[in-house]
Amino acid sequence: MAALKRRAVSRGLAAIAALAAGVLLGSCAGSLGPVPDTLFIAFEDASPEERDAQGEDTNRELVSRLVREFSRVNPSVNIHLRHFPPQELVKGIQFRGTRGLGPDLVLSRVRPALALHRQQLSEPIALDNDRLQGIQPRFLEDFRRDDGRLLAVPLLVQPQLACFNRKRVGDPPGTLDDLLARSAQGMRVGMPLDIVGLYWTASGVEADRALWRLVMPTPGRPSDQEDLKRWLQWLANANLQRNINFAAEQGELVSSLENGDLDWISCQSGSLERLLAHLGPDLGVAPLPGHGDAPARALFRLMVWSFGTNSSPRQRQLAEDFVVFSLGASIQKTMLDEQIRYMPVVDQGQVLFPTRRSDVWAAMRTSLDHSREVPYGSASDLEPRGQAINSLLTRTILGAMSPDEMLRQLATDPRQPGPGP
Amino acid sequence: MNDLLYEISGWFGYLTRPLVLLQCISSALLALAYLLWLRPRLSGRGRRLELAGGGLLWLALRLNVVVLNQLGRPYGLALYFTQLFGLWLILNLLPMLAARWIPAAPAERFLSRVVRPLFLLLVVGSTINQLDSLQDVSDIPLFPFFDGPMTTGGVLLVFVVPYFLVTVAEVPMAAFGRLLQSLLNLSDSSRVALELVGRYLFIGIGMLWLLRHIGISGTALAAVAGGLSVGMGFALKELLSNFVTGLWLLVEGSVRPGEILFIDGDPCQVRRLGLRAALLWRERDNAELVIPNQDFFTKTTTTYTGSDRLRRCSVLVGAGYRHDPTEVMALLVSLASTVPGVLPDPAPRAFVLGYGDSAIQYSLRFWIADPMKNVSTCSAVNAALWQAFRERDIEIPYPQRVLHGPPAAGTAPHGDA
Repeated sequence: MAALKRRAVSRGLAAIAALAAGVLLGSCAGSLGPVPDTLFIAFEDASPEERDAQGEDTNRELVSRLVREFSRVNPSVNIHLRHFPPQELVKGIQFRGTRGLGPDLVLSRVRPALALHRQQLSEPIALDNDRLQGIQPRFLEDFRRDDGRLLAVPLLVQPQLACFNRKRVGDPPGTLDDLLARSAQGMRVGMPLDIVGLYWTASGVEADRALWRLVMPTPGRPSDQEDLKRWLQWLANANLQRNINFAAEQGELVSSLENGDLDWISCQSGSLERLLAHLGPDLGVAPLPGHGDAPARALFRLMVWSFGTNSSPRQRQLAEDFVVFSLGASIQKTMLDEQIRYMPVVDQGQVLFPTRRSDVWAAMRTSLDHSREVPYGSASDLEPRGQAINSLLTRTILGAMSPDEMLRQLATDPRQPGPGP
Repeated sequence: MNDLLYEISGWFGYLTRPLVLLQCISSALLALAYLLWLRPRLSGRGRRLELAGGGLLWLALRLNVVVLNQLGRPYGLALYFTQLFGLWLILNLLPMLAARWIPAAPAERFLSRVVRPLFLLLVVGSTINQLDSLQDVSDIPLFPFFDGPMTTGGVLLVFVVPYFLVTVAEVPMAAFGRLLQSLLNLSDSSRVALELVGRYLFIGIGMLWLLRHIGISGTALAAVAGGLSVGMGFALKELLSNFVTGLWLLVEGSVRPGEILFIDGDPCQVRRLGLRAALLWRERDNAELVIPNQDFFTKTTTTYTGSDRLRRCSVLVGAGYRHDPTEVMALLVSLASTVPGVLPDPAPRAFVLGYGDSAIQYSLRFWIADPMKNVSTCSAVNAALWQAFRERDIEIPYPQRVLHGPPAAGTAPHGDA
């Protein structure tokens, strides 16, 4: 029995020895060159259920297309993709980072990219301006640190739009008043029940700047209180309309438009492919209704590259090359041919938009021209503040709280920034 | 398959990172130092000392983690190696700790059949999860299979699940059997039969789950079974017949583990009733007999344990004509009662079988509780009988024969002196 046990231990130790030998051989091989260049890319991709709730499609094809195109010009580079659900992205990269196995590049939305930066799981990058000259400055500036380095590099942008069924809605409403009037005539309207999704409505009553100051930690102005009250009253009034519905999840609005339960919704461009698949030529897309002749000032979302902290010098070089490649006019145009969910971040004069659904591209472009980025800022308490405002806003829209009461709460609750002095 | 190989090739890409190499090489050097320097010096100096050496290596690996952490370097891989080695040490300690409560043989069997394979699975799975996503790797398609592709995870399950179904099912079913035995007051053989049926059910349900999980739906299974039924029927006729017979015998209860059967003139104990054959143990020569289940189904089986476990034994003896048969029979009955293993109830009995050439033939019949103890108990009774006859001067006569020969030459039949 003892001999058997000793043999078992020997086998285990032999396995460790073999592992050690493998590692040593591998390391030698690595230094001598036979191990090919390898680039690890992680990307944020929700599960099918989450994507359904958000009314969006997977990013897998998009990333795979980028990899294929890069591999055509860099065939010796092995690129390995890892996907993470949004809520596990930071945790997953942290797990790998403590082992030195973190990705070289991460493609995500801005919020997780900022979280990676705060937790030192991504590394700011110093890229020559020559290599980034194609990117529109307004997309880039928020990511530039004081030392000139970039904590993330934008790749694509998602504007917010109005999506409607052409069979039911001939010309889309151009103003908020028009929206209310059309809903009174029978047009069934759907809007999201969160502050980011409703920001455009604030621009329709000229309250968007006050709302911005409310969300961001910036001092308010005397008129903010009145502006916000006007906006909240409009929302509360809209909720009283028989044909205006608020939904907690974007996916619910998209499904309702697909099923014919709604005629007009505010949507993210990320839902367009799904809607196009269901509605085909009946899908109409327009900028969101604003004030007067101007379309709404909505918020757009960015997909950005973050650079990992575990890369070898060679992998960092490859990661930079990959990012610069992905920002090239040629590849951005290729991506436009493949999908209609994202717009390029490069100067749009460099990219020829496809003729397929040119009306959609035109609407996206107009909307993007009038939009600004979702406020993230650098303060770590922005997220809980936004959630708290969201909660109050939901109660106000649904009638559980009056606009005055909400404003009072915002003014008295020390966790919230005051809407005015 | 290419996708899997491509994924695996990517893992080697991590070796180009100095941060990964630092963890791997420092851990590997410590392991090599142990293997080449410390372990040979401890070898043969006792199990405890060898384990202490392993403990030293674990401490060194742990120290390596602390140093890497202090240097601000990633240390997760080094910590992972330490944890794996720590687990391995605990596995080697387990037999020593378990020896106080569990017999060595079953403990070692459980360790080698269940715990160590599980440890191997844990090592493989967790290593993949360190380098990659276990879920992603297991979802890699390898080849087309029925309605969808067979994935890496599916192939692994095909090998792993049946093994663990067979080996692991024994433990919960044994516990379940003992619970039912205590609740329903079942016999040992009934409990064992119940455990066996439970194991087959457990394995059957597990296999059905596995087939569904790897993409063989009920429809596909029915189609395959229908297509192959004729061929399978001929090719596996005997196997299927033995399997079905085995289940029938278990339900019927005539052949269960623990039963004593009379095979070719010898009592044999049923050790195991398998899918194809039963394994019996013959005490006479410690032989194990593998008998197809079908044999018990088609041939007459003599059992000592059908309704009870009693066996009637008999000893034959002859006593001289000069002894009163009534006294001899009383003596036989009384001495049988004194021999260990002879049951008082049913009481031993003695019979006069007949009058032989040189002795009156008696038969002493008695009952024993363990059918396998026939020879040893009969031997003990015979030995006691010899002593009792000797003490009472009862003769066990030799066969007597009178020879009549012709008179010798020169002598008169009625000789004159």
